Amino acid sequence: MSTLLDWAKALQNADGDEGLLIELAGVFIDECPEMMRQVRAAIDRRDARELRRAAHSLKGSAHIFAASEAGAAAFRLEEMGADGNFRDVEDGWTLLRFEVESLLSELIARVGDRNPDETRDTQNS
Amino acid sequence: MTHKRITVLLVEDNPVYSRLIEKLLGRSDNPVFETVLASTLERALERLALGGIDVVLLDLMLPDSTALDTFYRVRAHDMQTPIIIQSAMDDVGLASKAVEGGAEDYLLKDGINSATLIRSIHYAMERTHARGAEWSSAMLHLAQQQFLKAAHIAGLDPNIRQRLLFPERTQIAALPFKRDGIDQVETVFAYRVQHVLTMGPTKGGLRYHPDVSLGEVAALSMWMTWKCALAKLPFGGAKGGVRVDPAALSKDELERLTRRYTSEFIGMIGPDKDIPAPDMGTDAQVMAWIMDTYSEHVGYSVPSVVTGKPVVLGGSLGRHEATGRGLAYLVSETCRQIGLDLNGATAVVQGFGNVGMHAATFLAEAGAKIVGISDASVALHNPKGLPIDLLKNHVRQHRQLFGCPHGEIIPSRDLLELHCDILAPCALQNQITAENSSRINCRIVAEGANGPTTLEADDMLQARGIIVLPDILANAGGVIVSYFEWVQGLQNLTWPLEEINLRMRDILTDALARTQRRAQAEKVDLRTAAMIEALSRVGAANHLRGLFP
Repeated sequence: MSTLLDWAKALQNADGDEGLLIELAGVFIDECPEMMRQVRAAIDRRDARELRRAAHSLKGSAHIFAASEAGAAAFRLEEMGADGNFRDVEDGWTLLRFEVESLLSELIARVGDRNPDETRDTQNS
Repeated sequence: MTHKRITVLLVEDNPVYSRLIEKLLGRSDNPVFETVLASTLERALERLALGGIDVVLLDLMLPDSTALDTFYRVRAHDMQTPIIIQSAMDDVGLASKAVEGGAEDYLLKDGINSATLIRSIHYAMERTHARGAEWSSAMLHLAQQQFLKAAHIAGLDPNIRQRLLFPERTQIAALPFKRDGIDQVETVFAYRVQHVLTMGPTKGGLRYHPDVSLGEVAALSMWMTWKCALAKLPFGGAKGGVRVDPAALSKDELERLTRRYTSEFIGMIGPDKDIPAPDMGTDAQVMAWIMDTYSEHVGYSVPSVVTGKPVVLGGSLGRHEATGRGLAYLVSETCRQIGLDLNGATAVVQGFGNVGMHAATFLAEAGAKIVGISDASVALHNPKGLPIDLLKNHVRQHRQLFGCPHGEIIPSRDLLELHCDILAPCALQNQITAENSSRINCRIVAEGANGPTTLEADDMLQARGIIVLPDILANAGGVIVSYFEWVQGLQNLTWPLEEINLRMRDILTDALARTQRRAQAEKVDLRTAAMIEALSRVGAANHLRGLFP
């Protein structure tokens, strides 16, 4: 069992449908770079509101895959955004990037394992 | 069956979650969900302004708006559409504040599944409906307009007029029943309305339909009063309904729902109080369950608590097809009067339920050529005449006309405009309107449905010399044979079918003759004349009984 994500719990979040969960992983793999870019841009602009929103959105995705560490890292940045406190933001970013990249590679591996054809389809769509 | 469609506006910036919701909603085929996606508040407000959204699923954290602001800005833009907040576990406080502020519900994003999602949407819409629309119904509006017009012409005592505008007695119940298999209790809204208690026991059908509301049931109970009075039956009008889609329930669920309905309204119904009968979505089996539940309650068999029962339980011969048969009798009498040979005349029937199917059957038996017919699934046209028996076989097998090879498919709205001698709208209310009445192309309109013609359209048809046999007359065959069933039950005597049909024909032709005399004397259309005929009887009864205390 991976510590990065809890596949059984993630399956529950997708109403017990593995095909759907794999499809959602495909969406995340596609959209994640843009979501991360938005977080980074908010940090660079010191835009607290946007940091809160972008981190919140990432957190929501992490929760669907029951990826508690990635979710926690996103939540930390979300709170920094809500408080408008940028003191530890670079540490938070480093941690988030590490967790999200690990989650991504885990998801890519799982998606590859389970159903490569379907994943390719969703990625193309 | 066409399934109910619900349009959901999903306001969400997280693409993974959006896909999840879209897919979960996509699994339901009844109701069918259409998901419209908006990833910013601005786009959501634009889409809301276009209309047609049934419910909003709202994420509070959006690129252009956050927290409670998001909710209040949507609310300010649209006061009616129910809003369900989507919330992460750590934002529940925010979500519950939004609910205090008027959102219908909140959904936790963690551990969501299609059952909880669909139930939440269903109940949010139910609650909005229950609060907003109970009395506001187009049908009640029409029933009251018709009544006021006739009351004015007849010079009805204004005190009595006010008493008759709304039903005397209404009861609403939130009705729980168990679903099959899963550990789930469904709660639906149920009604029983008694319009006039002066004339004897009250009588009226029980309807299971997703659009049922208090206003609709009240309108139908009013029409029952006029129908009974016009036919001189010793009943006041009543109606019952449950807001539920019976096609989505199993037989066991339907039975549990029906028994619970009976028990909830048991103080109101009874053979001397109020006698239900089948209507849209209910049938002889449903009546049998009501009779059984009522009988178990009092300790002995009471067949006369319902009519439209199975014949083996004391139902009357000829009851099932009575409405359609009555309509055909009246059409044939009218044809005789205006010198139109029904044998060889052309007819169009809208609706292929209990009323439309039998109306078509008996009109065809009398020699009419049925050139057009429709149900909720399709409209069929055949200038050479449609074979009704084959259509019935098809519907018995497939539950709908769609796929039936015996006619050409035409757009449903064109059906009513086909050239014919007799047009029988036997499906829904508000079909012949100011918009299409100038294109109605027939000599006789026979209203098998309740309220198919709007007041404006009525005047336009009258001006063009089209004879309208109004609903309270044209579809009274059902309640007349229900009356016979009730009488036979009280006497423990059964009549042969010939006697039943003969007696029904006598009552209907007498009511038609009285209506026509009124129409001539008062120089009004047949509907107003029938209403005047009916309400002077109710008015006289009210006067004679006086007012207690």
